[in-house]
Amino acid sequence: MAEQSSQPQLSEEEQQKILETPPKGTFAIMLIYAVIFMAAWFGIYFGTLIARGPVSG
Amino acid sequence: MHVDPFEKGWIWLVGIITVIMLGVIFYTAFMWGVHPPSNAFARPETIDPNKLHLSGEFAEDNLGVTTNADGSVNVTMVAARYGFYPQEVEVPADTPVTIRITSRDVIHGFHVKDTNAASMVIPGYVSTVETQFAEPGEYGMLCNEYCGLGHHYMWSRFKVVEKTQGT
Amino acid sequence: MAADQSTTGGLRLPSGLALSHMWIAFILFLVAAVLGLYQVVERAELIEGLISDAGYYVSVTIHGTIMGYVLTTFFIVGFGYYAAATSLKMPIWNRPLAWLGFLLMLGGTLLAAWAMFTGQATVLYTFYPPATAHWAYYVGAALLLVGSLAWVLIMVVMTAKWKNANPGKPLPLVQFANTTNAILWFFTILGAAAEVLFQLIPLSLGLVETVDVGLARTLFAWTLHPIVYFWLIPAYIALYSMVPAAAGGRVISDELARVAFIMLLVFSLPIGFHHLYMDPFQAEGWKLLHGVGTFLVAVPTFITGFSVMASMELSGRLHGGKGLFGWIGALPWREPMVSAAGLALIVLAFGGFGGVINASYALNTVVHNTMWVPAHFHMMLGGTTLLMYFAIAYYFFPSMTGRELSSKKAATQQIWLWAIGMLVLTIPWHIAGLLGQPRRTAGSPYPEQYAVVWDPYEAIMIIGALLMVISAIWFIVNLVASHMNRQRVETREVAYARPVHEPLSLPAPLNGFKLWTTIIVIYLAVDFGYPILQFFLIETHNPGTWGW
Repeated sequence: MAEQSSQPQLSEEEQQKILETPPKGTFAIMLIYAVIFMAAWFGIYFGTLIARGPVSG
Repeated sequence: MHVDPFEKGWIWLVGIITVIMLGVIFYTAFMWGVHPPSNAFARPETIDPNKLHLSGEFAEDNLGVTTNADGSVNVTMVAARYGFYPQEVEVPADTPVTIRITSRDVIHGFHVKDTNAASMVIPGYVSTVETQFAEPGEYGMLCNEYCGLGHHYMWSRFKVVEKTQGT
Repeated sequence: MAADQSTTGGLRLPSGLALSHMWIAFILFLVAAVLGLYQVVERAELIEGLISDAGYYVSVTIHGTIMGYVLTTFFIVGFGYYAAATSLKMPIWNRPLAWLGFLLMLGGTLLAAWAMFTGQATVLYTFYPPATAHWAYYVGAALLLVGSLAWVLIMVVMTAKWKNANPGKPLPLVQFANTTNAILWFFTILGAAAEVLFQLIPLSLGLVETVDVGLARTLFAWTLHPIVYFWLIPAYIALYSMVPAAAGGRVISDELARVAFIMLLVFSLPIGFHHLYMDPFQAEGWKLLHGVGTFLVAVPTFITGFSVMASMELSGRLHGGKGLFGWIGALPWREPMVSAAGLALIVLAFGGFGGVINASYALNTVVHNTMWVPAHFHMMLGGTTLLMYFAIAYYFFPSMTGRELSSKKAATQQIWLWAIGMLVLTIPWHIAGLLGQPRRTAGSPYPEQYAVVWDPYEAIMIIGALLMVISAIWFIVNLVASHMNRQRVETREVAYARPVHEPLSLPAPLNGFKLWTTIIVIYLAVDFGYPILQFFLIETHNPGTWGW
């Protein structure tokens, strides 16, 4: 279970550069997720709970 | 501590989202009165489940729908295996409705399907739900907490009728 | 040079201990999985001969008890022993105690199983009196909890010993998180343990006549939230520390991972009232307080999602992936751990959203006790968590058995099949809940007009359950085949991922638990102190026991 198994041969320098690369792809995915999340949450909160009328007690 | 700037940005975003959602929850709670049913202000309201039918608010003769002077409506019910009593209830639409309910035996729960009328029903305690129904129709008041082998047979009819003028 | 029987570099690994715990977990998991299929078919009422109210509710009792208490606790304890020994490179402290714990857990399980299978405990798997089971069910549960405390003690002692032997050094992340989980478990079980010891056992033995249902539900709610983090933390340990190793990458931030585990520990404990939002014996203020806390505990999961994905992005780029999303395709998806992680994150994306809906105070009115709730926890426990448990088993088995996996491909495919089945099962399940279908129902014998809208979803769910049972059987087959594999491993060492930046030293709060334990005690006192105390101050009228 060694770390590098069958990857393209990267030099130490190239590897180090990648290790320092910021996770832009992750950020993009999470940003999209956050937008969908908020839309869906507001949708259910106001579109279902509030739309069904008052609730308390 | 090594935290990537993008991750820092993400954490800030999560913080903002959390504050927004909590903000909506608190605002609608305190400004619009949007709460789940509690009925436990200074202390929870307790009651003796073994003596419900004998006298008081939940005696058999007192169950059902009553109208108050201001037009609002009270619904008094008892949950017991396997029904919500009375088993048919009728309230006017667009009217404040207060449902008060307790259990004769074990834990039940009710949800009037597609509405905000819902609560746990706990033997020893009284539940209060305040809501209003906009759409006339016939709704199912379904038991949603396991209360024994007949749990899935436990339901009552909850009817909402057009509000008549002059009430 | 072949590795010695059960040692690596002279270290005696707890293979027997870990395998015993895991096999009990997995065999019972298979039984429970088949019962799950029975349930989804029974309630759709498609096969006349299968319809049985008692059959359904006994099945739910057994299925829920095994999946929620037995599968989980046994797996987590076995995993904990093996992770501790391999990450600290230390033998298990006090092996006899560990085996005693195992026997108590097993004895308790068998006792409870007897009560359930003989139809004397058909009260489902949540402890909600006044419906009361045979005392054997509650005593069995108590033994399971007590037995697991052996593991808690051993984890804490091993961590303390390692730190004494390595002063000033950072405790390995895996054991830091593992110990977090042990401490979490200790505090988690206090609520249910109090309910079982002081209410349910006396009640079921006839030593007391009545029970305060509000108090019982409050005590159970104490346990009900943090227990899911007890389940989740091993999955998170795998996501942080094994996935990057399997994918050929690194942990993006060791310190931030520790922060996430600490947040999970502290914030998951005092928030049980989101299970009581619809109950009439706790006030709005307490419910709101717990609600805020529930949102706080979502934060470390959001952090974990990002960190784990970022580690995977790193791995993908090291594999040659280019551009904004090219790293996704470049990942070694053939590795069971990598596939499990990707699928677990997808499922977590859905399930996490559902969880926040549940947490949102009054919004709970829409979903409480509808089918949305079991849909949610099946997605989280049966989806995200269990996917990682499968992957952990495949990751540890070579080291534990000394033999290579019989087929990595079969392992990965079994994981994919499970994930697909789980999504096919739980997505329609959520929708049925939003459409008002009540939970814990052996069928829907309501007037057609209420129930007809749920039918198509029930049908789709059956397909999901079928896929899952096939996957469950496949899982067992894969593990048995690995036991019998002739090909031995070259090393029994377990590979844990290194961070991009290795911390040379850490501040005490990120390397130990004194501060956090203190905060937990205070936080629990604030959030639960008066809400529990009130039951002893007010006049209550308590019901007696009921059957079903």
